[in-house]
Amino acid sequence: MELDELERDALRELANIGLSRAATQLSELLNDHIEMTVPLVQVVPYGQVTQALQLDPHAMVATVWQSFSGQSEGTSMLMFPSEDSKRLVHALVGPSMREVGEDDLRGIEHEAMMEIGNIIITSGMAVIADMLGQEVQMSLPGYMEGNLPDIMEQRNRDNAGREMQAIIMFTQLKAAQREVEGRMVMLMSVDSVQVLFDRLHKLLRGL
Amino acid sequence: MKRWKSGWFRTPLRIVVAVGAVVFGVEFLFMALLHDVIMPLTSFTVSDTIWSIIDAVTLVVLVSPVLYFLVFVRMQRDFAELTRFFAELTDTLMMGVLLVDTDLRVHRWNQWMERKTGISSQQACGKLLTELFADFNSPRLLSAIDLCIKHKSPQLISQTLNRYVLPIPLLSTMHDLKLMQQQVSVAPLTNSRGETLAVISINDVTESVAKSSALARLATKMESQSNRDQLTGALTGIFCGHGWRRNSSKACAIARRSVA
Repeated sequence: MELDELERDALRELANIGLSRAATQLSELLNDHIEMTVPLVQVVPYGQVTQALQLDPHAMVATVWQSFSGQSEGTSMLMFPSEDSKRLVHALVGPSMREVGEDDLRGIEHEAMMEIGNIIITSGMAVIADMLGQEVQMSLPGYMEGNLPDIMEQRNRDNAGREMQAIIMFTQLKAAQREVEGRMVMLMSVDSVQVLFDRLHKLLRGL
Repeated sequence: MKRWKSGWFRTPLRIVVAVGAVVFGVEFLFMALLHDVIMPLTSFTVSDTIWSIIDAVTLVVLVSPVLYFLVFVRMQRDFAELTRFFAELTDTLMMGVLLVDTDLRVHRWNQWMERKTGISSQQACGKLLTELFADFNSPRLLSAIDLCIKHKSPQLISQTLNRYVLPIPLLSTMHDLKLMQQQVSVAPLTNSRGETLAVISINDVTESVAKSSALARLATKMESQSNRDQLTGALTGIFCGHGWRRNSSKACAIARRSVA
C-alpha cells in the first residue's frame, strides 16, 4: 500500500505526538531529559521489512512487543540494537546497577527495557488510536533478543498465512546525553492497515 | 416515602413485576367494564378475534414476569457465584491483587494484601489508595492506571526503575531494606456495567533484591581482600599500582577541592 506525502506526514505527526508523550513520561520516571522524534515513516509489505529496517541482519536486536486487537489487529514492536539498548539502560539506571552482580545485569536490562518499551509503545498506540477514533486493546509486553530475521520469523508465526504489512517508524531517542536510533514497527494484516488508513483519510478530509 | 420507592424499584425484576401487575390490573378492569357494563347496556359486541387478542395479551403479561424471574434470578445467581469464585481465586495467589478505578478507589483487596499491609479487605474496599497509604507518591502508577483504564493497555512497572509503587513496610528486619521492593503489572478489567477498572498485581521481589545486593557486596569485599596481603593489609602485585593510582587520584581531588 502506497502512502502519498500528505498521509505520510499525518502518520508521522501522530507518531511524533505519541512519542513526545512517552518522552515526557520517561523523563519523569528516569529523572532525565528525554526527547523522542520520528523523522521517517514507511509502509512496506512483510517480505521487505528486514531490508527496510536498515539494521544489520546478523547483529543482536533488543525488541519489546505488544499485540493489539480491536478494529485493527497486529503487533507493535520497538527495536533497538542490543548494544545501544544496553548502553542506554546503563546510562539511565547506572547507579542501581553498580551494586548488582554480573549475573543479575541481564535481568535488570530486560526488565528496564521492557518497561521503557511498554511506555513508548502504549503512548504511541494510544495517540494513534485516539486521533483515528479507534478502540484498541493491548496485551502485556514481551521481550526478545536475537537477530532480526529470527525476531521477525517468531512474530510472524501467529499470523498464520495472512498477508501482512508493516508500518515502520524510525525513532530517535535522546537521553543521558546519548542518541539512540530505534524502530517502532506495527505489523498488521493488509485488512487492518486498510482500516487504519481509511480512518486516516477521514481524519485528513475532516481537516 | 421517596426513599422507600427508590429502594423497592432498585432491581429490574421488581420493575417488571410492578409494570406487569399494573398492566394486568388495568386490563382486568377494562375487561370487567366491557363485559359487565358496556356490553349489557349497549348493543356493542366484541368479536372472537378481539377476545383472542385480549387473551393472548393477558397470557403474555402473566407469563413474562415468571419467565423473566426464572432467567434473571438464574443469571444473578451465576454472576454472584462468579464473583465469589473470582474473589476466592485471587485469595489463593501468592501475590498482591487489588482492583481500583480511575479515582484510585479500591474495589478488591486480596488476602495477600491483607497479610502484607495489615489492612483488611473491609477496611480497604471503598477507600482511596491515598487514604490507605499516607506516603503514596508514585506518578508512574498513576500514569499506568490512566493508560490502562483509558486505553485498555496493560502496563509493567519494574523494580529496576521504580523500586516500589505502594509504600508497604517490611515486617522482617533481616536486611537493610525498609519497604517492600515490588514488580507490578496493571491490567484493564471491564465489569458488567461496562466500567473499566485496573487490576494491580504486585510481586514481592524484596528477597531477590536483598540477595543480589548482598552477593554484590560480598564479591566487592572478596575482590578487595584478594588484592591485599592478609598479614600487612598492603596491596599486592599489579593491584598495588592500580590501588596507588586510585588512592592518589582521590587524594589529588581532595587537595584540589581544598585549594579551591
